[in-house]
Amino acid sequence: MPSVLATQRTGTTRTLLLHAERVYDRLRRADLVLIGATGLLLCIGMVFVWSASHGVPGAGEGAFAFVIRQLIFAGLGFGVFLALQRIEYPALLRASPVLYGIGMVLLVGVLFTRPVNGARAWFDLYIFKLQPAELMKPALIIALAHYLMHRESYKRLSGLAMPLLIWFAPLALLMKQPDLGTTLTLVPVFVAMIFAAGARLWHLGLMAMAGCGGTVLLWMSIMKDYQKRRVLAWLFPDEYRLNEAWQLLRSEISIGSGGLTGQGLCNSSQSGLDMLPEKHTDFIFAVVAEEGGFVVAALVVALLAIIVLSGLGIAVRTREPAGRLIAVGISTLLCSQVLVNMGVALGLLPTTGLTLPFVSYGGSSLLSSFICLGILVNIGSRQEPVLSRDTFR
Amino acid sequence: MFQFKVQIIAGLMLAAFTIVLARLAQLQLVRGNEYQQVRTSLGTREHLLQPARGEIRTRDNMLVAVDHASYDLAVTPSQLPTLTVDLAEVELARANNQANAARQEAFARLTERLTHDPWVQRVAHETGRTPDEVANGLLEAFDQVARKWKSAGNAIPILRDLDEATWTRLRTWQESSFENPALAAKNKEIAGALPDAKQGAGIPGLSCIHSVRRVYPEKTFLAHILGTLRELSPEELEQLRESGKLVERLHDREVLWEKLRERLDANDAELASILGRDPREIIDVRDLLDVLHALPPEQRRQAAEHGLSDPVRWAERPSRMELGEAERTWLGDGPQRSLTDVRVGESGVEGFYNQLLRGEHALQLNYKVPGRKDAPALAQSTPKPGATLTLTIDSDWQQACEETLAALGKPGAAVIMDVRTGEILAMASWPTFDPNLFVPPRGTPETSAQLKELLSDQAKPLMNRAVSGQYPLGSVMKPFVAAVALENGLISPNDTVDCCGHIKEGNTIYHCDGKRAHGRVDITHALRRSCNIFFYQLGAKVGVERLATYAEILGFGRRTGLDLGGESSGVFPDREWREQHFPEGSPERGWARGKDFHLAIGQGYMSVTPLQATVLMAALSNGGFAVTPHLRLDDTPPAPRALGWSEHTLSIVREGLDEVVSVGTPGESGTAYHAFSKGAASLPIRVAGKTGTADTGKVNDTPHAWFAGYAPADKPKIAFCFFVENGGHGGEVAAPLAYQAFKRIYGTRAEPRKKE
Repeated sequence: MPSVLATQRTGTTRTLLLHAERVYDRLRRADLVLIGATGLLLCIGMVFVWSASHGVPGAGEGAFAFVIRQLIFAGLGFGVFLALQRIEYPALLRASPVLYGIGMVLLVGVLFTRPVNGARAWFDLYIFKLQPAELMKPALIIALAHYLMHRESYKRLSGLAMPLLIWFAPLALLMKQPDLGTTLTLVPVFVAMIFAAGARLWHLGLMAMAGCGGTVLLWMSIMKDYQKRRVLAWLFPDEYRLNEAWQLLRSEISIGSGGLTGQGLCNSSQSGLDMLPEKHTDFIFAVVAEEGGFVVAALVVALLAIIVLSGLGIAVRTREPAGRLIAVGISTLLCSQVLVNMGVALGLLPTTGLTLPFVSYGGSSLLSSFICLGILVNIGSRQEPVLSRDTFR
Repeated sequence: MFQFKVQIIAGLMLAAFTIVLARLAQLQLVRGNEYQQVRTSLGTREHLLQPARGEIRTRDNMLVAVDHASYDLAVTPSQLPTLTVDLAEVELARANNQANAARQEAFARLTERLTHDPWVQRVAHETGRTPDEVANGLLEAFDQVARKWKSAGNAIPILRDLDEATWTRLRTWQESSFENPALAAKNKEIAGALPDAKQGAGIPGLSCIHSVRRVYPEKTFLAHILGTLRELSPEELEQLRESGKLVERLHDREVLWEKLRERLDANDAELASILGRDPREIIDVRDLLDVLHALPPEQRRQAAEHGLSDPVRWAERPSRMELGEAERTWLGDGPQRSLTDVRVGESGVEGFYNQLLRGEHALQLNYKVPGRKDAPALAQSTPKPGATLTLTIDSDWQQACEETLAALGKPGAAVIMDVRTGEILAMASWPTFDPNLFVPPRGTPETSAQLKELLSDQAKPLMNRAVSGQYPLGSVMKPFVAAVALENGLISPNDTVDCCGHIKEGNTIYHCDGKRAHGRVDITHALRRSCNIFFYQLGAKVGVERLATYAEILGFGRRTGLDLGGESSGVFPDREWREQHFPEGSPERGWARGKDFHLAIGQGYMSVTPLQATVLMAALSNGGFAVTPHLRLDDTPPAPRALGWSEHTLSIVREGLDEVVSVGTPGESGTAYHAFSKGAASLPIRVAGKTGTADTGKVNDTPHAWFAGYAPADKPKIAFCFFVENGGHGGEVAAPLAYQAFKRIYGTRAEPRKKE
């Protein structure tokens, strides 16, 4: 039902207004807690990206270079978010084989690039570096949901083979990059989606055992030396005191010295990338905790928890089987990313290169987070006629 | 059912978030204070404070060597922006091209590319140097990192000796590495107040290093005595570092660390009683935190008072451990340190008194707060400036000697020494050089050509002829022979010899100088006229072994022990020397009368340095004592060695030496009479001495010219020796030279100045 505003106009303006109206209409029904929490988190992220990067030597374009880029990506991400509100997510489901295919092609393609810091994970597009792994994450979740939505086959052990294959194909490519962090976050995503879809518990147990076997295999064959050392450093910090535990220790001290109220903006001892590498990306939480203290750090944790739990709430409220699977998948993805990132910074997990959603500096990561958010909001605000009781048992 | 499953997932997530929050609270709220304590300790830098090298002054307080402030520009490779050539390429060029030529070519190409780099051009523009120079310096710095001599986190000098204006301008926007209090004080003295280093952000990766440069303000004056400084090469540094000697040679780094450690260790016992365990076992930050955490508050406070979490201890930590590649990049090699003084004395008193002059380095530990250059110092020991070395040299006398030698324009040497104390009052050698050329960094474009020329010069300007040159002594030997003969009663003052101009020994005919006959001569007459025939016979009577006894006490054939490097020992052909140098049964090993003839007139195997000749003259004039010459004024040299010559003996010899200058009877005049008679009136004192004309042993060579003696003749205070290499006749070349010098010396003052 086009509004008064739109009916009085014609042509392109009318079309645009109609689009805007549809988006607005949808957002009116959206989960405002989720959107509000994300907005606040983004603002906090901006402040600390600035604080962490203002003194970085070689930044070149001045103190705000990183923040300006981050703002541009946030703008882009928001655009994608709005665009996602215009469509209905079943369209995404229909397109999922294509999206999944594109993601796989990119993941294969990225293996032929020049390695940066020992990993082939980025396409250098001159304007920014595209990290296909980030884009593959939502594509994988949609593809899994698309496969699982109407079937019952996963209730048999043999029926799990196909979703396992869909899930493992990109994972293998990620390990090849190598990108252990992303690989690890996708494990709980798969488990949660299969579990929510209705796989039997003992099947999951069996898979967990297979997973352990796979981990051993991983350790023996695929994991690079530096990755092994990181794990060992985490397990036995004393033996790897200065070499691998260095980052962990730095991050720990940094966080610890924040105290209740923090050292104040730009006052972190780790300022300057020479002391804590990747602090504006992977270790941004250490900066937040040191400069903002427990107060701000706990707020960030709370906001992230709100986002994740809102996602699960959307899953519960959604009746459409694919929608709720996607919501569970995305929530789990965000949650595991947050937990792994913070766990690393807090010295609870070995060092992996993983960004904190909506907070860390990084274009691909931010874009991916916005896509996830867009899909979540889309699912949550979909009006669907109630035709029957819950049939998805 | 689905809802329940999602609730399970949500529950698990909430549990995980709770764990994260709990850990956060544990780190920040429970143990926050402890972490804050260590936070500072991890961010420390170790700075080496360089002491000013000691000054060198003459006895009359003329400044002849001093440290001046110098300003270098350095790069820290790890902080550099991306350049057209990066470290990896340099490493590659070094690793892949084993052949020297290929590597040089590769490096030349890299330099060429760097020259066009905008960063390099900007630096060149700002400093007023050519891009070539900057590119070269930069590449060299990269190369040092590639060779692992320096870490990429170190500031490595690329441009030396910026002028002060440039430095001051750069300093306002550059990070200065550190301020050196000892030097600041020093330089306030030299060049007024030193601008204090406060700086803002500038070209990334650049820093100014405030260093010092040795300056010899009087250029060539005293060059051979002052000697040269050199910089330890990176290879040497690396070798020394590996062998653990770097510290000893450069600065007492270990000692200083030891002092710091001792300060800490004194606490260890008390700490141990508080903690109930040896605090030295705590080597890890985690460990420290655990220990602190386990303590009750009161004990924790006590432990803190005793320095348990003292950042000094923790700053030490990285140096005790082996660092990984990554840490090296972040930390530098161990705690970041700047080795700025790698100067060592190479020769002269700079070399001999290096320990004294270099002073003591100090360490400063600073908080490492990036972006804040006014970070407070944590701990610091005070650098001890090098001691001032005062030389026994009298600058006026020295100048007189140097200038008369230079005026003659022939290679030669002059020594003037106090007869009683052995203080060297003047010591000159010609040709000479400018020690400033050798001051590190050597081989700057302006000086490298001069340096090359100096090193390849046939006249050997770097050689100090007064102590390093060994020459046949010639007739200057005669007073020695005379004294030994008189002392042993082998001749009386009245004994005479008839000189007919030649003497036959075996199949050889030995001649008097110029084949002239001197007629009937006694010992004083023989000395005055330098009669060879007389001394041939006397020498044969005395014999080599008797001479050797005294030669050993006097120091012929041995170094005099002067506190200066590069001394030659000379040769005295005593039995021991012959046995060392000739095979058993060889005719040379034994001894023949003819050899006594040669020895008695200072020819043959015997050779001495001009300094040894001076010591002989001092012994003849001070009552028969062999002094040890020395150059440091406050030094107490070993006690003089008594030769046991009676005053009677010496008075006869001295009479002869006096007559050499003073007797002008036509036809019987002393060999140096004419040299001194021309303007004898202008000398306020009488000089006594002995000329010498020493055959070099080569047929067509002009002989060496000697004139050695003492003054004043009646009451000797100084002994001297003037020597001209291949100069000709002693009485005609060396004696006039001495006269010219003395005219200038006694034209100013009759005695060396007292120490001011």
